Amino acid sequence: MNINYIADFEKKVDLMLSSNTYDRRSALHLLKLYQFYPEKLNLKYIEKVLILTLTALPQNDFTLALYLLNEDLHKKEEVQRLINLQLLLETGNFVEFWKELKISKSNSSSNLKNLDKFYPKFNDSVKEFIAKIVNITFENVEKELLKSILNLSDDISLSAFLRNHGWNLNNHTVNIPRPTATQLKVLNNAEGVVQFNQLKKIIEYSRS
Amino acid sequence: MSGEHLDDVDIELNVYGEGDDSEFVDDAAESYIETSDNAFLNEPVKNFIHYFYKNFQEKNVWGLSGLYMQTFHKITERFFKTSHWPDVKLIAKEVNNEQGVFQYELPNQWLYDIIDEFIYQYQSFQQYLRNKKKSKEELELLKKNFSKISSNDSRPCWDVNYVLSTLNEVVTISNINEPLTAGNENQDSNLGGSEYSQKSFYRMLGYFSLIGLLRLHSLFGDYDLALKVDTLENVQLTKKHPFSKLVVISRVSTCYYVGFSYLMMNRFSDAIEVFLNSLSVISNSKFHNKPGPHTDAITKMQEKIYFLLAICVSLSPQRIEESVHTVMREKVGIDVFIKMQRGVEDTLNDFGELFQKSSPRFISPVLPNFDNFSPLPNPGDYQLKIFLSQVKQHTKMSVVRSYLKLYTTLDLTKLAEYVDSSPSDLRTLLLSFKHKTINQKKVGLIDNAPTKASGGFFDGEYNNSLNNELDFFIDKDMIFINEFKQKKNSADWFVRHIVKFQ
Repeated sequence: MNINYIADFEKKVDLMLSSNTYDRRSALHLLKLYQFYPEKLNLKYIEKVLILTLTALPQNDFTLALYLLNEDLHKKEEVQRLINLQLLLETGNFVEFWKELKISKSNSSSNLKNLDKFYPKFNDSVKEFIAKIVNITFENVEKELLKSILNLSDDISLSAFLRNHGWNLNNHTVNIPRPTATQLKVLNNAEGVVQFNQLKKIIEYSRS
Repeated sequence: MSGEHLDDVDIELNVYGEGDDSEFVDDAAESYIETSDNAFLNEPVKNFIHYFYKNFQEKNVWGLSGLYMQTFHKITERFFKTSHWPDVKLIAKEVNNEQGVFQYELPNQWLYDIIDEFIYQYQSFQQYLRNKKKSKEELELLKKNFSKISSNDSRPCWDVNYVLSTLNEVVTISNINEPLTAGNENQDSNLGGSEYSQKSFYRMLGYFSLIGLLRLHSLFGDYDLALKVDTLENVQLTKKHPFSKLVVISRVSTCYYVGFSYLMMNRFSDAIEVFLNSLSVISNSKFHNKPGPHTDAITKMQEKIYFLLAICVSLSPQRIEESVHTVMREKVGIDVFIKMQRGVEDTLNDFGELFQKSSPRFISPVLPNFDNFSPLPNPGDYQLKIFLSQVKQHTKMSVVRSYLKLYTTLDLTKLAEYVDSSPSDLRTLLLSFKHKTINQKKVGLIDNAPTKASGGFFDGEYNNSLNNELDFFIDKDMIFINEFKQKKNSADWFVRHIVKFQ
């Protein structure tokens, strides 16, 4: 927990963003260093770490990161904006999420307007997460709905996406094949099986 | 350098370690010797100190252990209920003020207590720093103390880095990792290691320091690091492990902090497993041992664990043992529990209350401004706030869950009507439902050792709905629901009871 490490960790975070690699421990460690040495706090980097953790979904690294901040930081506009985005993702509000993201990006006072520059793979990572959730939730879903959930503007990008994930398009419905193990089945425990010995005892008693 | 640290600890030992045989106490109750400077050093205590020192010298660990655990307790209650133990100097006089602990062996319980107290004192100090208004002199003193950081000769007491590094150093010196890893892979855990690690004193101290680090990181709110503490991965929670067998409170404490960290990470299945394990540890220990020095602490912890368990079960419904379930419901209050399960709006207060009752006392490593002192906010409040926002998301799902349980197929629009929302909102909710219920679960948490290979406490596989009783898919506008119900073998139950009543 040396104050001199802060600069190194900040560089690490930048590297993670540009190369689309992610190491949870390094990212959170920077926040922990800020916790111990608040005089060295850099809000920009806090934002960056939070953005990184957003793409770690479905793991809730974002929450872990929040726990390492404090009340004052929590109130800051930049943090609130990201918390809002995370909330939309966690509550399945994907369509709203893309809308909000667009608004934040166009807002000139926010750091997010440079998001594409310092974190080019952000959109793709989020789409992957959404795809995972969609995969386990839907069996058949309307094409238009899927497009809005995944922020795919035209059919061409949609087809590419479907091909990558092994989903099929039938007319206007996208079919997501279910793995056979999770097919609906009724779990049947040995419910009503009575052992003969037990019955024997009961019969004995009822006879006497 | 480490020698110095241990010497500090040594002084503490001399203060704590007393005890007496009951005979001494009863006999000497009347004969209370009051000398001019040994104000409260009466006969039985004196005798005790001599007897104790004898044991100490002869490395009689069992004797020490008995003295420490039982008679210390009795003596403290009898004579020192309100006042503190006599000044260390007086006692040191009696025992020739020896230093140099390295040769001696100490009972494990004691070692655990040392670490425990160490952290507790740090915790209290931090809270003291933050809270009351202080007089000018106090502020000056504190300021002077902490500005020593710049001068290189001595570190101020309770500097956070000092605390952390002490614990880390003990762990490194004792080289606790090797025997733990070896033990987990069923090798001879006495091999290797330096001369230090051979001494059980250092080993145990190292082991307890690992637990101490776990606790400290949880208190700072860094649950991820708490679980990853070097080779906490190797700390096993089961009975079979040779290290943790003896000190019950250490196992309970470990389970508590591990479980709490899991809870804050939203890993409810793991948390529940750990809590259940700790409850069985506590009930086993109560059964075997007579009340020891830590019964109060264990009881308090047990209650906290019940509260946390209630929170977990409400947020992620799972079947748990009937007996535990009943006690838990009683502790929390049956009305409150039902409210929590149903996830109605105002239940957030209940969650909040339970959380505050059962969470550890959080601290923050930041020092206040000594020149312009004002009480700083309590870090626990912030943790609570974040936690409640998580809870809020979960409670929305409870209503939908109860409806889903009733059907095998259900039309989306119909369900939307039932829960008073639009189909698109409902679809959103169901997506989040799925997201929340893919629990990350550590396979074989309790039974097997979390070895390095299996990634320790932190990793775990995603386990889709195996622990949840409810699973569903959306096909266009229809929801297909599948419920895995563990059907009770009712026939068997009936037969057994019929035979009983005959």
